[in-house]
Amino acid sequence: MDITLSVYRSQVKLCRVGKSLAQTAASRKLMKDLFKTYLEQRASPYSLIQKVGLSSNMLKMMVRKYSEQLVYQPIEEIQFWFTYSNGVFLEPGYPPLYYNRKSSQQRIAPNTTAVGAIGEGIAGFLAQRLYQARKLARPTYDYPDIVMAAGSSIYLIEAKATTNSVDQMQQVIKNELGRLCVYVSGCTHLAPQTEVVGILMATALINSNTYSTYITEIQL
Amino acid sequence: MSYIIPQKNFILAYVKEHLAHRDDISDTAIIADSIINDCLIELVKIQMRDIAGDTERLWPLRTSINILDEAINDVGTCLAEEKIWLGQLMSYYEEPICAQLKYIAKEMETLYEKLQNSRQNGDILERQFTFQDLDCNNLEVPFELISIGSPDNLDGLVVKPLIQSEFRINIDLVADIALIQGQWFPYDLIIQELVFVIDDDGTLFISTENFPETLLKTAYQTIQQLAMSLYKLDEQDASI
Repeated sequence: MDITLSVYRSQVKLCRVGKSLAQTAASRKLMKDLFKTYLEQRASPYSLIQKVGLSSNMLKMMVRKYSEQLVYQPIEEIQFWFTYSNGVFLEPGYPPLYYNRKSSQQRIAPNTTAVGAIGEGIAGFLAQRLYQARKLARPTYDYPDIVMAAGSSIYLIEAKATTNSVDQMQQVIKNELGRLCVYVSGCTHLAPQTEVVGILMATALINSNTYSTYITEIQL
Repeated sequence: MSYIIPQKNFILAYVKEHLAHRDDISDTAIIADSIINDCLIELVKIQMRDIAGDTERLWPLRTSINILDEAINDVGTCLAEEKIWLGQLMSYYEEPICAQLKYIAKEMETLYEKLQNSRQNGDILERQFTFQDLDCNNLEVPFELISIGSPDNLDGLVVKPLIQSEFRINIDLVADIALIQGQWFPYDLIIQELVFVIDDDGTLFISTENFPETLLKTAYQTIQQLAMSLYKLDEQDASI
């Protein structure tokens, strides 16, 4: 089964003020909030750059290569999730499963390991295809998710994924962008001859065969 | 046409290039360079896995194997062979590398013992290797064909080139038998109903979940044919 992957891109270039905010944001909430506002104003709007047909074979291989957790058949897990969340379990032949409780804290959720694994697989796939980058390191339970190289450029890639709405994904991006900017700023200072690019890849799994990835490129 | 180098060589080459282009080569600056740190940790991790997966290496079944120390020594040797001089810094790196990897090393040592038992009991599939053909009219790169899954339930087939130096892949060589999708690695190579993936280190992969036996046999033959068609040495490398 092919998955249609829509790829959107935005770019953020940090000026001198931005770099200063990035450094102070790590220590003080006020500066963190100011930095968040600064990034929202500086980031270019997301524009669609590509629609890719992603074979399940390809995604399986990329999940094997880039996921940091043990997960069996993540694509099938997500397909199963969408079968339930699209109401199909009400039809005959499906198990009569109900998850709502009196307490609003009891909610059914998809397998987060599978969701995360797919996000990491797609991030690696797009970094290879779009930037012709090759994996240098996959930090184990550390930051960022992937370190890749293409020529003299280094790409620091952080992957996020969700089955929630695109609007909720945008909120995840806003929350994560500051941290990646701080890290890119630090790496750039320590290796000034190297072009260091931060890439936040946030994938929304819209349904079982439609995904959207929002790429935010950070450069100093 | 693309030139492929093994993953370890790629990382080593990058570290060498990265250090060569630094203005500030003071110890303090290099130690703080997170990219160098990440590369060294990755090299040690890869080496640990190679050690643990080496079927010909005989290990006593004791916990004093210390795969981590062995891997760090091996990586130090590789750096020296590539003339990547980290000098006294290598001893500095040992502590953070050990801190990052010591639990993973213990896990690998435990799994190694279980792997040996699984092989003895026939619980997992046998590994298969091709043999290098040094006939100069038919140069090829040796590779390993790996069946992923259990003997009753094959999840996939993987082909990994075994060469330790650079070799060529010319995707266009299979254009007459496969539909090629993608402008860069990883490429999809579609042959009838079979979809193979080729990655930037030369690895070939196909998922074989729920394949009937006849299709599985076809996949098995086709992936080997693809490897023999795609992996090429330059003629001057025939001495490898």
